Amino acid sequence: MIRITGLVKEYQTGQGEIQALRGISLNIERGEFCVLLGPSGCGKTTTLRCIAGLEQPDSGEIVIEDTVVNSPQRNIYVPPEERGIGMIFQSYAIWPHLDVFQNVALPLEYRKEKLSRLQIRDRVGEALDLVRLKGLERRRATDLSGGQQQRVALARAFACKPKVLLMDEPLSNLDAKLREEMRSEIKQMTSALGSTVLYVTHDQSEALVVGDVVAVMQGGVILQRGSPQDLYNRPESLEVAEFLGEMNFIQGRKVGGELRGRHLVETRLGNFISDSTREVPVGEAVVLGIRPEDIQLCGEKPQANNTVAASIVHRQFLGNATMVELNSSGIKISARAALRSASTDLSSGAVFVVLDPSCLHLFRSAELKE
Amino acid sequence: MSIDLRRDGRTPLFVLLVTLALVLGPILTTLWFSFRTGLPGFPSPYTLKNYFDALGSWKFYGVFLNTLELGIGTIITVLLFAVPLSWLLARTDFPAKNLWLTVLSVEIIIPGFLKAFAWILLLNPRTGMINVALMTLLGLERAPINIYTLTGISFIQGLSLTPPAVFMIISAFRAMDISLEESARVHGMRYGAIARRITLPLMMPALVAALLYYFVTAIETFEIPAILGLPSRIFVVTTLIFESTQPDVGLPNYGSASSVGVLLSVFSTLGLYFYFRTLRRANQYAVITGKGYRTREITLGKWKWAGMAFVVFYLLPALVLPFLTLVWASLFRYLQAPSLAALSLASLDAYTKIWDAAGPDVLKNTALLMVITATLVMSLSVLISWVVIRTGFRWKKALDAAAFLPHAVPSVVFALALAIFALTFKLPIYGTIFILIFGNTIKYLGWGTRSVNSTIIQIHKELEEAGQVHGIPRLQVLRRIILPLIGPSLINGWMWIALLALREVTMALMLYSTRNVVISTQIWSLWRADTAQAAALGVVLVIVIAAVWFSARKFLERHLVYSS
Repeated sequence: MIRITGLVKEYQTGQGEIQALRGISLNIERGEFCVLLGPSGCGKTTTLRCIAGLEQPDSGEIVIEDTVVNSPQRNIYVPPEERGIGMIFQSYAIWPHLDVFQNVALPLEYRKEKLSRLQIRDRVGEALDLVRLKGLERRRATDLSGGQQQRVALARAFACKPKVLLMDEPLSNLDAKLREEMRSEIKQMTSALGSTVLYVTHDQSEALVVGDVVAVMQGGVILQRGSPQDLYNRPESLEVAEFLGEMNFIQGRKVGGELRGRHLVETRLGNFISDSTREVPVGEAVVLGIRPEDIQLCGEKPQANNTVAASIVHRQFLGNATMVELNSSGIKISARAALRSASTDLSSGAVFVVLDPSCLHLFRSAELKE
Repeated sequence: MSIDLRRDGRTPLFVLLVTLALVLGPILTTLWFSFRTGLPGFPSPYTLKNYFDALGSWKFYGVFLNTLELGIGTIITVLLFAVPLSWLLARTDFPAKNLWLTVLSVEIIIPGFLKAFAWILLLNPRTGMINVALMTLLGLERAPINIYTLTGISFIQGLSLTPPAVFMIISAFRAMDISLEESARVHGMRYGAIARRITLPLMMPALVAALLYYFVTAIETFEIPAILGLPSRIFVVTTLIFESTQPDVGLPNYGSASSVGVLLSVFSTLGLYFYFRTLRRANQYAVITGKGYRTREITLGKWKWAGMAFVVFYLLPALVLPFLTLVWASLFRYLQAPSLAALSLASLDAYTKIWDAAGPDVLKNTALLMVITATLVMSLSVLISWVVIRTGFRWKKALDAAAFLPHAVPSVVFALALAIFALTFKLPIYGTIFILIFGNTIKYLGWGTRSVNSTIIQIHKELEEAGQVHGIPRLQVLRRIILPLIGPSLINGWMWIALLALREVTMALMLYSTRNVVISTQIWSLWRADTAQAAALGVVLVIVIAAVWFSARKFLERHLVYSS
């Protein structure tokens, strides 16, 4: 549905040139909900705005539904108003001089297929129904709450029956409670309509909840693209692992094992076995990573591989779990323990930490950021 | 809408070239002519004579010192009135603040020369009404106050620059984060200490910036020093330039005027440079976002009366007395000292003859000047501001600076440049209303672009992008979304510029001919011949200005809801 290849974009700033996009390629299938996830300044909004036609890349190609809409090399540029898209802006961009009905209706007045007044009224009614704003047609846009403005923005986009729906951090201006409510509603509405969606956010939990597919971006490149489960369970790089959820890292060196699977890694805490499927030759400097919830804590030394002694530094009660901060030979480890085990086994200061080999990720050390 | 460089590459460049031509043309003309002698349009060698003559004469240094004294005297007066007024209107629960602000904004548009004329009637050393009254009351031999002095000029000038200064300082007060003061209070500091240790240091850059700005404005103005200084031969730089171009005896010396004009422009540009530097520091202290902004108003309590007294203390000399004086003067063929007995001599003759005084040509010229100038300035400003704010045009900073440059060139110098330009190239606009329109348009371009800049910044870019993305054609985005949003403030700016052009007298005098008389120059030339008639015209002008402005504000307040 959307095919992006090799998008490059540079910005001229006071400090010189900044490469906002360094070769972005991405495919989004019809009906797919794709999330672009990354920290601010990673280029995700620029990518979105290039697809909308609000900005132009320096090179690369953008195809929407078999039409090349932008290709600087071939001198093709279709302006935004002719791309047949819908977009939700971060500020919602509700026109303040119009009421709710007019905000949804205005773009419909300029459709290629000329709509009659009656058709427009029906389309607006349908859209407002969908976002549950029926009855507020004549409300001034300036008199709406943040959540309502968000709904108007959605209705406006839906009413256009767009080929693709672009969303630029749509929930970042809402408070936490409303945000959770709206994100599941957006997900429901778009899947009911079968919309193709590209959704930009910096919030990883949001990305995991709404996305069919998530692409993690950093520094103008896409690091990894996959289902939320894939990204969380099999991060391909340290950046992705760090960005999605928390992870403990231990530096070491591979001293034995096969090329992939069953790696033996030597670290300051001793030797560990990792079942990671990455290809790493023996002798290579590596980083081991494990998520806090994959760490097992025992009061007594268990009969298992990958066990190391540690002392509890600090405990944080979270309600449904306990975060335990541990220290082992000067290395900090955070573990997330289920409630019951935390209260019984962890009363003493010294515990044993078991790192399950199947949960122990392996990264090449060269990837470790300074 | 954002202009796409690949597609609309030529528009910004075109705007830049037009602006540069308009702005730099006159400025370079002055510079060029300052190295020449004789009359424009005649051959002359290039020479440094003008500069040697100016810098080598004692008279010039005397005039320079006078100008400095005027500048300093003016800002002292402004400081005295504007700072307390701004504080009262920005930070306290002073009653009817909006009314006072409107009064002050009307005062900005009332021509300064009318106030100066009125003060002559009040304080000239022979017949000034206050002087005469004081002499009879106290049995004095000589008039106690002489308005024809540098102190007098500085005071009157300071009074009329106070309203714009109040608006400038109020916006600085409003930009200050109140929580900075609140945190001081919470941690145990008292009002006086907070004022000295927190508020004042934070406000200091903004105050210094305002004073620098009005110092430059003061040394650039012409009308008040001309009215109050020339009778006693007290010159400042602007009046010296005027004198060189329209001497009582001999030929006009445009070369000498140009060289002095160039020196003055360099001086005022320097002043504005420091103004911008200070402003940058002031902006570092300002709150960036409007989020959660609220003012904590200081409760005045019984001090309200002191505040009220201060407002009266300002408005009496700045507005009420001059206006009443004009009204009084308009009633008598020969000016009478105010008394009930004199009232029996009063007549409304001057008002019944007002159509003769401001004849159809004068009215037509004035209307042309106001309407065309305002329309040109606003159209150019929209183009310029659009390029500056909404495009990635490479030279947009240069464009913005070019549009502001006329601000740094005194009106006298600007008019001089236009005269030389038109005479040299024998342009047919010389002596017509169009040369005035031209001059006013360039002069107010700086103001226009500042105003449109801030309007466009306030309209979130995504509002137009939302239109574009959902398939609304570009022109329709402009018509259906942008114009409704910025329209009211464009009308506001248009009105303001029309009124500024109405009150403008400096360029109108410098470029005066019998064919381009406007109301301001008409009042000016009537003053000596028929004071009552000039006063009547002035009174009507003030009333019309105030009425138009009040009703316009009413109308715009209802429509200005989107911006801000």
